[in-house]
Amino acid sequence: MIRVHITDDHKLIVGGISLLIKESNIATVSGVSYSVAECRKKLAFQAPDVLLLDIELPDGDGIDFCGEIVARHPALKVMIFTSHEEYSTMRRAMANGAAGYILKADLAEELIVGLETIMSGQSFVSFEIEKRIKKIEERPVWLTLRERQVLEGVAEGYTNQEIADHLGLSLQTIKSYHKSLNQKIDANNPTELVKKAIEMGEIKRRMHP
Amino acid sequence: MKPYSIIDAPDVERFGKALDMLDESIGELRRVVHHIMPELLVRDGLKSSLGNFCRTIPGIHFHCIGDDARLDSGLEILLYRCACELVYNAMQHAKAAHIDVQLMIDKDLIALAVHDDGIGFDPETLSPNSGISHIRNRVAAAKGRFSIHSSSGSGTEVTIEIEDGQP
Repeated sequence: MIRVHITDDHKLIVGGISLLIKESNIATVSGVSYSVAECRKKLAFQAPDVLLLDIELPDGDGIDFCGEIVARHPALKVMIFTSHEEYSTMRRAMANGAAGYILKADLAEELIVGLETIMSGQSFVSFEIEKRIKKIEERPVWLTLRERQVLEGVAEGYTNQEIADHLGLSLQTIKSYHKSLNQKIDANNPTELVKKAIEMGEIKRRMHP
Repeated sequence: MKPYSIIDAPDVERFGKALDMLDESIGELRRVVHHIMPELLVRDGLKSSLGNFCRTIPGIHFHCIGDDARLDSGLEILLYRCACELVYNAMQHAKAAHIDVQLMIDKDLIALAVHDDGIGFDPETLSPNSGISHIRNRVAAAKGRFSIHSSSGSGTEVTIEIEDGQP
């Protein structure tokens, strides 16, 4: 049985989740708390397997507390349980040592699967969040108008200063765009930049070089 | 249905619909409130909040290049509001299917670009009272450069560039 400690300031949620966990037959609720201070105190005496932790608690931020409690109890797995669906919040939680991240709007079954997953040593993010991550990773290279103007200049063999004069922009501005191009196209020098941009179809190959 | 249920079977569907509408309204309200005072902007900065804003709208891709540095708070708010306005413009007027938003933060240059694949328009015909004209004025007041490229049928791209924007 997975022993779960629940920390959330909403009593109704704690009650509902407790019931759900009991009915799952794979986990049991070993304790509950309603604030960061209470959780800190109780975990000093109890050793649950999983801490189901809300983010917005009356006396602190759950993600900050996650970092603290994982440092103190390295064996403890923290599952963040929140209504925050922003990708950046999830990233912050994972960076602070959370093993899992689940939304309050998710299905009950997901919580149970999530508990099993993090107990097996893997990390878990709920389906909704995972969908968002996929969308972010699949995005293709897209160049802004300025980047294309600079890329064309580089492909024509002009220097940054010449491109700056031609576009009526400062040299620093052109250098910044040149840098972003290198980063987006993953190039280290102008030759590589132009070669890769041609391969990607971002610029047409010249008929007579 | 549980034995102690207090609604009749035909009402269950209506109740479900009402719940769905409530869920949608909550989502909408979150977006509106977020737009009025984006708490994340103050806490996490421009890159993070602009990314979150873009993720709430389907069809938008957010790109971020360069440092994750915090900017002057007035500048962060200016760029955030401009980006939101440009995105709403692209959705409402340009009828765009895809929108790309790019934020670049470099040592000497902060650049925001918003591109859409919508119907486009002739920038010469822009009314001085339009949202875009207001953005242009606000950017000029912050000593930034505003440029717009659009033509009928080929979408629109707005670029806002602020040099030496970091303290």
